[in-house]
Order: sequence, then structure tokens, then C-alpha cells
Amino acid sequence: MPFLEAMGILYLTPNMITMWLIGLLLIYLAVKKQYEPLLLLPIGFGIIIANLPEAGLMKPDTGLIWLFYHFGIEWEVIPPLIFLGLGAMTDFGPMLAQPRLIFLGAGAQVGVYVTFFVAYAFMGFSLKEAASIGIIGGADGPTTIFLASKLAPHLLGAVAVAGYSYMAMVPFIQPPIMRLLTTDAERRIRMKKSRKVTQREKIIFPITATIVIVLLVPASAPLISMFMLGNLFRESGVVDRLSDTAQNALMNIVTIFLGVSIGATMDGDHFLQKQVIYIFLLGLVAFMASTASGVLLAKFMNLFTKNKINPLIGAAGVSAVPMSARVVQKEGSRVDKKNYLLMFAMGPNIAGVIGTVIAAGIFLTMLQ
Amino acid sequence: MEEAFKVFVNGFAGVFCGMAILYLVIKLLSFAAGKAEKSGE
Repeated sequence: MPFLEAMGILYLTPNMITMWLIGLLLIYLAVKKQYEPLLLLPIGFGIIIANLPEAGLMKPDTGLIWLFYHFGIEWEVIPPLIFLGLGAMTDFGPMLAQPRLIFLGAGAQVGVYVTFFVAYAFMGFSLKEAASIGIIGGADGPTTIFLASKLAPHLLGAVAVAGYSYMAMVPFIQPPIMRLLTTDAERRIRMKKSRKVTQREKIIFPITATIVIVLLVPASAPLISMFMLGNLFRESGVVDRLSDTAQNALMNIVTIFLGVSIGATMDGDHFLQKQVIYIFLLGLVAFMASTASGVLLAKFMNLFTKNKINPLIGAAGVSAVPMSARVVQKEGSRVDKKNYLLMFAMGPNIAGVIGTVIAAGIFLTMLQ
Repeated sequence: MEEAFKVFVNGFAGVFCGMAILYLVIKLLSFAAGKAEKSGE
């Protein structure tokens, strides 16, 4: 009977069931542990529906989720739109007030390049695959997805899930490294109060930064330009409706499509491979190396500066905004309850976003 | 391996160079726009 022959259950494979379990695990982590629920929940559901036999949701040209994926991610629409929303949520004030701290955002990109090199030289990944894995160390989800979709689309699901999982685990990954690399005396350093940043600076910055960064790294234009446009919406103070839409409604809509599309790229036959375990291991290495390099760069800068930097804030150079800045505050207050590091840490935190986009742009320029 | 090393070095240098230029932009901005608003207060 044709009806019986068309039943999906006849085509179910062990790999599909394994993927359902992975999808359920992500949904569990999102609901029960609240680990990046906005992304892990739709990703988990996307994994389940992509592994339903005969459903054809990821069938090229006709599948519903394939259309989301094709027009949203392959056409590079969703990651820049996420950046538009992020820009509208970002206050560059702490970074503009303490410009020297932006180097910590660059320092934390060391993890990206170290992991890239390790993945290529020792783990057998190609240059493009290694770059897509290394960028996990930047702790910036949309940039990771943007780069992986261009350089190694077959690894997109694994890279995105690894990235978002580790971002959720920043409060567990970073503190041991921060404590290992700093002394009590260093953690007690109180930083000099920041100057007040004028509104005019905040309005001019996104315009000049877009011009300068895109002139330097043209491949970063889709992300940087949307990021800065969102920020201009916010700081101009005259388009509150656009700023609000970018931060909330638009951001929420694209997050749904992003999460489901990413999840749906993870079909059992391609995902369940030894490579994926390596990607998760390398992602962890990238996060750890980025944290360590940020802290060590802050210590190095202290050799030459009069106004000392609390090296803990170097860890905020990874762009997990604002979670890593909160981790810095928490670690600092363990040794000195009245040491308020949060606003200082926001500077490198935001610089880390820009640094990761530049790193991704350089990868694209050299490898695409 | 040579290609990977090239990407590694260029990437590293590129990110720091980008941030250094951004640093100069911010410094210039604080000099021009930061003070301009103060004087208007």
C-alpha cells in the first residue's frame, strides 16, 4: 500500500535516533539549566525535525527549513541582522572612555589563531575548516556562523553548537584560568576612574569606525556595517523606533530562523563523526587560550603603564557580552568586595566583538 | 604548513594593527568631539 510505504518510520535509522537524543539534550540544557536558551532551544528542535525521515524539511529548493537556511544563512542575511540588533544594544561608552583597553580585545584573538594552527597542523583539518573552528575562540556566535557558512558549511552545525555551548559555560571555563594566571595583589588592583564620554563622540564613533575598519578589512563589511548602524540608531536618539525594533522584534525573529536553520544542518549521517568530537575539544582550547592571552596581555601592558590595569579584565576580551565581563566582576569581588570592575571589563568585552569580526574578515580575505 | 603560518602571522598582525588604528581614531575623537561638547556646557 502506498500509504504504508510512505511512512517515515520505515526509514528511521540509528543515527537519526541518536540525533534526536542530542536535540533533546540541548533542549534540556536550555530549559532546565538556561544555557543560552534563545539559541539552544531552537537548535535542539531543529536537530530533531531535520532527522525525521521522509519529512524533507532540508530538501534543497523545496524544504521549509532549507529555505530558511538558504536565504537566511547562505545568503548572509541573518548574521548581519543579528549584528544590527547587537549594535543597537551596545554602549561603546566604556570602550571610548578607556581606549587602551581595546588591545585586550585584540589579545583575546590569540586563541583564535592558536586554535586555527593546531586544528590545521595537528588534527588534519583543512585551512578553511581550521579557520571556522578557530573563530569559536572569539566567543561570538553570529561571527562564527558567518565565517563557517562561507568557509566550511559542512561544519556549521557542530561549530555553532560548540560555540554557543562554551559561551554558556564561560562562568565555569574562565575563572580557573584567571586565578591561575594572576596573583591576589593583581586581582586587587583598582583602576583609575574613567572619563565621561560625550554624546557627540558616541554618535561619531560608529560612523568613523565603520569607515576605518572596512577600509582595512573589506571582508568584514557585512558584520561591522550592520553593527555600527544599529549602534548609530541607539546613540543618535532620534530613531528610537528603529533602535527598539533592531534590539527586540527583529532580533527575536532572526534568532528563531537562525536557531532552527543551524539545528537542521545537523543530520545524523554527517554530524556523527570523529571530527565533531575534535571540534568540541578545539573549541574548548580556543576559549581557554583566548582567556589566557587576554589576561597575559593585560599583565604585559602593566609593565609599561603608570595606571595599572587589573589583569582580570583581560579575560573579558573574549566577546561573550556581557557574560565574561560579569565573570571578571565576580572574580574581582572575591578578593576585594568594593572593587567594581564591570564597567572597565565592558571595554575589552566590546572590543573583543570588533576584534573577532576583524579576525573573521582576515580569514575570509586570505582563504576564500 | 607555509600557508597556515602565513594566515597565522597575517591574522595576528592584522587584528593588532586594526585595533591600533581604532585606538588612534578614538583618541582623535576624544580630542575633537570630547572637548567640543565640554566647552559648550
